[in-house]
Amino acid sequence: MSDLERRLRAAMLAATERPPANLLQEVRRRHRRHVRRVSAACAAVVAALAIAVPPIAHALRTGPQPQIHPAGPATTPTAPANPAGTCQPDAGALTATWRDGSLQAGPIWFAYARIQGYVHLSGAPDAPRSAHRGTGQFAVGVMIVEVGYGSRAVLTVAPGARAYFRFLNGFAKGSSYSLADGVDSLTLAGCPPGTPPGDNGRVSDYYLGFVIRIGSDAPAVVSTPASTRPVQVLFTCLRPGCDT
Amino acid sequence: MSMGDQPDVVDSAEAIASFEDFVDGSSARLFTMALLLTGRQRPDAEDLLQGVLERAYGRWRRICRNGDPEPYVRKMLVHASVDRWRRRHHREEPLAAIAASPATGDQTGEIADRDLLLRALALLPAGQRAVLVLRYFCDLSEAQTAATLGCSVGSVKKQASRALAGMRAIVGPAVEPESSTRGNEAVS
Repeated sequence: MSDLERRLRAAMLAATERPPANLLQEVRRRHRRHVRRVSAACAAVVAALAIAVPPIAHALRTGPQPQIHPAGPATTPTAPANPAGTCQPDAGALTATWRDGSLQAGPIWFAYARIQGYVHLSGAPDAPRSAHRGTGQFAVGVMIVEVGYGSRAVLTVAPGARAYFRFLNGFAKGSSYSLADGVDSLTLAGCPPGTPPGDNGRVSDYYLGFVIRIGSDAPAVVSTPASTRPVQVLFTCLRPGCDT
Repeated sequence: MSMGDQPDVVDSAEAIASFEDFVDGSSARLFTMALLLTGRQRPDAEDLLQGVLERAYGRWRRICRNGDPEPYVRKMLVHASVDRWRRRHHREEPLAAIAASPATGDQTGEIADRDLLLRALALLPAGQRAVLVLRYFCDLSEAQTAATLGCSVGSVKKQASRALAGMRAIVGPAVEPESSTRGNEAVS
């Protein structure tokens, strides 16, 4: 140890000073202030959620709507009681290769679902392995569904998932259909076969929303009159916004 | 009081009592350390120590589970002081500003020398200052200092070497001899 180091050590040890007499009281006071601030921040977050969540809460409180169709395999779709009654071949142009990143389930396509991951084919390698309990928070997601001309499909959420998954009305302005918020089953129909192709080909466009408990998987079934084997899909949302 | 003997789960009353015992027993050492880390700015040292103890209070039971809480609090203190220094965009004073006070006689010369060294210490960057405080005030080995700072032993050696070189540059070679008048020589 050099002379400088020895002198520095001596200087430091000689620098001892008494701490302030009210140290403990000041620490306690700071702690109380910190707790108050954290509480206020939590209250602000809760208030913000309370303001943001009403559409979701409304959708969940609404419960089954008159339009709801019973779920189950080989269900014959009934007359359109929701968006299916319209024909929208030109609601909005997707990219030219939209089918590459989309998920097909029977006659319907979930646009860009393979990229955004909000819905999977049940049992597919990328599908969630098991239902999660979820975080307790809800998120709103959006999806574009394309339905082939001349096709009709019923999309029904499994009864067990109805506590945490509902469809919401379309998010696109100028949609010619109106879906009652909160339904857990809907019928989608394509335009008649002779309709000229739209921007996205021979498909009808549906811009839909859904609300789901974050971290939960919602099984749903796509059934068509022509198919005896319905296609099972899983809606998921891992984080607010659902990456859609 | 050995904190390592604490049970894993300490109830609130015990935790509060344990924290108060700790503050009673260690506050002088920690406050001096805070003073050295802040360049002997008493208000800053008080604020730094209060802030660190407040954070430690909030997680006291967890801190005590790992044994003696003082090393942990010391670590918090060092990191908080470095963070604070970075936030403030610390600017060094010109060297001329730290000239020692005139002093005569052996004892006053020694006091002036200590004062000069501590003022030079205060001019070092916070990281280098922390290394010197841990090495010479807390009497930690290089390995213990590295563990406290979360860096390698080599980094501690480099920082210490730079810090001492910086100290020598600030106090000047004239004060190196063990002369009682070295404080005066440094001024001239």
